[in-house]
Amino acid sequence: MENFFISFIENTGLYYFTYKHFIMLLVAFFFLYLGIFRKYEPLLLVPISFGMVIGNLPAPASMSLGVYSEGSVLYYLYQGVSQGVYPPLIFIGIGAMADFSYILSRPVLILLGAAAQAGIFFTFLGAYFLGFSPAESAAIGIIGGADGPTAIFLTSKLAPELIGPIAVAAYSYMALVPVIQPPVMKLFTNKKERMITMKSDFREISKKEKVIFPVAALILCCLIAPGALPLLGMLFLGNLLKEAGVTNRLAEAAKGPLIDVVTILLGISVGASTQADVFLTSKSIIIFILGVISFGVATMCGILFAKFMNLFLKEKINPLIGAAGVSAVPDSARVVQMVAAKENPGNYILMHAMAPNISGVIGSAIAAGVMWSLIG
Amino acid sequence: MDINPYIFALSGLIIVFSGLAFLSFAVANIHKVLFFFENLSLKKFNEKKVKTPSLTKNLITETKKLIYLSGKYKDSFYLPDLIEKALMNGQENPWIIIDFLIKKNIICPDETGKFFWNDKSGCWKQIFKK
Repeated sequence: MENFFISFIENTGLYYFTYKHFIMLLVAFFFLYLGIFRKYEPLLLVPISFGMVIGNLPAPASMSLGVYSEGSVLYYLYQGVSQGVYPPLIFIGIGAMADFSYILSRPVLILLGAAAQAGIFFTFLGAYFLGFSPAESAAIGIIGGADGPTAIFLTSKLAPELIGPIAVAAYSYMALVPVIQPPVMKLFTNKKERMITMKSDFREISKKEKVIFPVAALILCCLIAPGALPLLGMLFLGNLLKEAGVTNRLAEAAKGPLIDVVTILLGISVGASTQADVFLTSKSIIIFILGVISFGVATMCGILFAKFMNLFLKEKINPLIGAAGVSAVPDSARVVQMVAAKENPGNYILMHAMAPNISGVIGSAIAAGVMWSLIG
Repeated sequence: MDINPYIFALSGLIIVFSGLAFLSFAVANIHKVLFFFENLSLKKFNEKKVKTPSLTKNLITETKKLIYLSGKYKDSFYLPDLIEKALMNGQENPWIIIDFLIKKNIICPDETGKFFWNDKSGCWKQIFKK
């Protein structure tokens, strides 16, 4: 009877529960709080944080329950992350939701999306000099792209052992755009600049242009950075399904059920990959710090480049829209609008901010492709 | 792999920048390319099938209707829109109409693919006063 009782105790989760699990559960509860009560990217944070709870409830090793235990259910779900399958599937949905009219209407604003990618390469340097390998540094740098799927995709190719912390950092910072970006925006702009209004005379985009764009853009971008093909291929396919006008069912499926299902699977598996023994390391803490720096630098570069462009443009642009060059779509553009409206409630620059925001998605995918092809 | 981190970061940034700059340039010119091909087909069509339009009273009336339906309240409009609307409104040969409009200096095409009302001649007001 006594042996049975001991055996029972040894087979409970409590027996294996350590302070590390406790810390991770606290982090998961904090993220759940942010997602549910503060509404910070709930569609991402809720599945990720619940996945963190799942991944940090300890169990005997013999039971093979975690994402790292071959044969477990979570292990198979996690293959979509570790093999880089989920990110391109999510990109189909993003493409089907994206409206490239903003880009087609104001092509010059695409450059802001490029400028904001500087954060990726600055962080690469930072990570490299802190002792990370080039592949790990590239995977950490991509956090600055503020694009969760891209970060996961590149990390799965270059530094799969860092997927947990990088994915959590990327998605949490995407969720925390309203917290991270406004101070940087205010630091690098003055009140007068933030009050600049922009004309809303977007030209009408014909259907032909909308249909040609995804095909032409895919060819152009992937000839330059072939590594971006899995992501951009899916992104532009999703967009073509939407714009073609003859594949509405497929577009609806891509931007509805497909992206929802994959987001759930991705969130749960990324969250569950943050098992305390793997996640709570000094590397993870450095990654989190570098991630937020990367995000800040990306925001700064976008703003500074917008100010630089103003030196040459007749009609000045509001430099805040440069901050939307990080590709957290559409949160970053929304935050830009929020900050601009605080200074001047009648200033509507959301549509203008969408152009760098969307081009930021393309830019971060190209950056990932470049890094993969140069280091991978 | 031994890499020079500075060169890697700089070259990476340059590639991303040039990629998007290239895209920006292409996007800025995509409608010009479309216009070029549309213009090409317009010329062929005119050369092969369209005889000099007879500017009958009926045609002028139809044209007025067509312009009215094509966007009276817009400053500019696109060729495809005009043709589509013309066809929808039963005009069998919209090219004649467009040719007529250009010859009469009512609309003038520019290099971007847009057609503008000729404000200087005051045709706009004259046509729609009735």
